[in-house]
Amino acid sequence: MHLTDWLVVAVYIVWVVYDGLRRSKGTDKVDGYFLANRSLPWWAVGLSVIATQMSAVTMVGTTGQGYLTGLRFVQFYFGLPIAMIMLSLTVVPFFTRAKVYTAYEYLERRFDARVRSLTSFIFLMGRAFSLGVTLAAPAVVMSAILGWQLPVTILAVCVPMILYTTIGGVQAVAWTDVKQMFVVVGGMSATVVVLLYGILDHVSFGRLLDLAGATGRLQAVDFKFDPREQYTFWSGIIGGLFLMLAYFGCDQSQVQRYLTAKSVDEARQSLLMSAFVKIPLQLLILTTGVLVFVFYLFHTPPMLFNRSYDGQVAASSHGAEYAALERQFDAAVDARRDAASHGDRAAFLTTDGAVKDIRRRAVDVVRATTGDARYDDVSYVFPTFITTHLPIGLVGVMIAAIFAAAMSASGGELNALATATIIDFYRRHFVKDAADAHYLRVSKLATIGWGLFACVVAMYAANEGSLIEVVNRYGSFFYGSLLGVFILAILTKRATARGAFWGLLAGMAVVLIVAFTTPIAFLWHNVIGAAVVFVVGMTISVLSPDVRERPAAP
Amino acid sequence: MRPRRSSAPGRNLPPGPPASDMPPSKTDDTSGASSVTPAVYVRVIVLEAAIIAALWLFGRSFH
Repeated sequence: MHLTDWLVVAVYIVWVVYDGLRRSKGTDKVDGYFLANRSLPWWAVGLSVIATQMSAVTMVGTTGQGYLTGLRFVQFYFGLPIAMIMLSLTVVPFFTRAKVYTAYEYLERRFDARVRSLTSFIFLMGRAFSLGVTLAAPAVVMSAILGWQLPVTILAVCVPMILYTTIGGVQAVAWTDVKQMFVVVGGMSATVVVLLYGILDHVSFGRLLDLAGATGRLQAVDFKFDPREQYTFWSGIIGGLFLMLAYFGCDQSQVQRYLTAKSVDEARQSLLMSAFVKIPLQLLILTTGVLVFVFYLFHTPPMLFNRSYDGQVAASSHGAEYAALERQFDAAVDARRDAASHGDRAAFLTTDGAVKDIRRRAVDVVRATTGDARYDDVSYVFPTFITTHLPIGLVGVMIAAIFAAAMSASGGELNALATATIIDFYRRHFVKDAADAHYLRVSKLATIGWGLFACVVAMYAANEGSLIEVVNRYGSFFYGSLLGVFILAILTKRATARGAFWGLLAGMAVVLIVAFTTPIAFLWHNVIGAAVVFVVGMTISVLSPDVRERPAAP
Repeated sequence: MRPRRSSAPGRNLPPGPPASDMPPSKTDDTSGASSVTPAVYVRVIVLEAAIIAALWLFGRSFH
């Protein structure tokens, strides 16, 4: 990377911290620290909601998905707009009227402290570990691309993020998210322009679409109903709907964003902003991946984008085999380029198949040599393109955008972890009547504590591919079940605390069994979890009704 | 029937009303004209349907 690019990255990080600290006004009370005194405008909350869920994993992983499989991943988000409408009509006014800090606080008012503590504990466990993974996954890629030591990359994200989140609270997080969204979207848009410029030098726009379409990369919608398929129209619109309802309705890292809005109306508008923007934004990211694929039809790509084992493979007994594959790969890429340039569809598909086959064999060689059964290079495609083909200056902007995405996703999660810890446990069970200044002080300590915990998890998770997988799957184990508890709380009057508590445990147990014993795709786990919690919860509530009486209305 | 008591933290609190029974808060500005009208929700659905249809047609055109 050029010195100018390093300067861009450094200036950006310093600016983020400086501006985050500048925004810490009005956070001298718990209400300001956790909820920004419920004062943020809808567009800032909306951008913060989008930024919190757009991590660096999205930037490097989703572009990689676009490169390998095309636009079909966008189906994952088909349930989101419907979920946003349902949440705007239900939980947004409920949470705001209840004047809660956390979503789980409402569950105590509706059920009891046991249900609140259990749901909050499930959130804390899942979110704390996933925060570590949110930091680890891009750090591994960026370390390899930038040639940094892994701890240095993790600290480059963690230290500024912990600093502005701890001092500025949710206000700093939200306003930093707003800036980071502009950096991410601006950087991606500029990259698309560079890609188009590089492609249209070789072929027309029509030929570009033909080439991408011939490999199936423009087929975004698949109406086939197959529960084993991860991404179809049906898994997105039904399974995705339940996942998004759970994520935006029950996950404190999202709920807290819209609790900072000035009013119910502004909170609704912030969610509807996601409904309008999220799918086009994901299409922009996936399209960038597809364009990178077409770009590399005319510019020789590396055989494998993840080069971290190159030296080890070359020095091993597989070295000669790997070198032979590289020669075959170069020849196949040349043949594919000729076919693509001449518009020979049959020859293009044949040579593209040959390129894919050689890549697959190369991956097998790396796996056999290193013993790393999870080796792949999906997440390395986009960072490799950035550092080798973007102009000076824009490389720095894009690297800053990846760091920005990592920080914006992590800052929101870190703030939510501190909120649930202090509000649902510390203030609820341990120190109930202290001064506001005391709670503010321990909130900052909790933020630092969870930040350091996430750094340690990130360092460990980076070397344990299996841990990343386990944590990623953990979310689908509990999201649907948490949603089931909120459905019981909000949509029924007969549901009791006992029903909700045991229903939640039953839902998680069933999802765990389904996940490990059936081939059902993970998006459907959310539907199953919510359904089991509702059925078991209602059955227990009806068979064993709560004997406590409601207080008489005033 | 007398309420049952438990020593577990928080279990001896009376259960609260469902959220739908709660009084509106200061931030619940339903008294004024809401800018989030049913037409906005319809626009969200229509836009999504249009995007899905466009993506489907686009994929079919270039396959």
